[in-house]
Amino acid sequence: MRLFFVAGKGGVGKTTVAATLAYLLSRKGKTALISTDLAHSLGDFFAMQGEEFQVAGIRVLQPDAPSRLRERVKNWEREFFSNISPTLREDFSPFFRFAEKDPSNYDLIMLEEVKGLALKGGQEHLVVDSGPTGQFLKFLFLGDKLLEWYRLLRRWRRKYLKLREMTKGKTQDAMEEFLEKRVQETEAFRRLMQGAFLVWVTEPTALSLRETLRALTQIRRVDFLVVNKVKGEIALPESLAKLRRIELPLLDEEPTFASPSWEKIAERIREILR
Amino acid sequence: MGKLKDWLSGFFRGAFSDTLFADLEREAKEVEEIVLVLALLQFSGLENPFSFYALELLPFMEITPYSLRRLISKEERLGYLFSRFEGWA
Repeated sequence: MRLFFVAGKGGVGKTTVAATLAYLLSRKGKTALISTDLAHSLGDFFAMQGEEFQVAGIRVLQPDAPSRLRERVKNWEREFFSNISPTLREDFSPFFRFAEKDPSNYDLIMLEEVKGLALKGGQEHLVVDSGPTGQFLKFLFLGDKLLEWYRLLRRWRRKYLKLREMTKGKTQDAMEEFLEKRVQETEAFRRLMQGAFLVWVTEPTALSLRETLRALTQIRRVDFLVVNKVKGEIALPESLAKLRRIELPLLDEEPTFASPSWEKIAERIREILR
Repeated sequence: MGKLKDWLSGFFRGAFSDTLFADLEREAKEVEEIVLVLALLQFSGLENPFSFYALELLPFMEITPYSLRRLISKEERLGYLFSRFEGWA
């Protein structure tokens, strides 16, 4: 299974590139395409509706983060409340209510969706139509942080079990088993992420190039660079005329860099912006 | 002779073994609470980026109104936690 992340500034054409890439890959093997953008537009691109559909041999998913979050929190709440005292139920209820409405959890839900799909298998290629740069960067680093947190919890839980074993003898511990499962699953997903291809989409505008430069310096890698909207006409308002000086020479540039390294791209962007 | 043996074993248990076991149990309880605090940092007023995943862990924890109150109100729990925390980044 190979993962492809298509990322870039908002509006540069990530969805178009992701859909095209998925279409090309689907000729070689089973392909799924998932959008982690909270304002997803894969449905608009394919003129289809719903959170999941099949089109041109591609399995397309655009999960609705708020409803997935509500559903997941409801399940956890049911499981927890089935086994605790009513007093605690009152104490904990607000946390579940807050969690299901907290927008910062949308990114985690999207991470879960991609992780679930990637680990479940069933396809040879998984193309992720990412959200705009900020959301994508958060997504990239969330997995690592989550793994650290699970490992930390596991380590302290094991310490506790060792101490308990000295007084009460060895017993099975459901929490340790659960943490172990989560660590292994998150590690497996991280391995997939490390072997993933990053397709960066940009366009020849100063804003987009500057954002690309900042992002690449942070990620320090890129596998494919797509410079989109090169041949089309760029209509700029008068107020942005200054930028035109940067953009016009770019129109004659080659639309892609061959086998790029992020350093080369960064250097090239710096030259253009100078 | 039998009485002396019982007395000696009782003395040994009272003076060493029970104390040791009590210490171990107290230590285990404290470490268990560390796991609770690490999982539920948000209850102590600290930001926990994974508070969402902590909800999934709740059924595995032995949470009592007493432990919850300690988690929320006792500042020294955090001091204790961070004094032992090796992996915090």
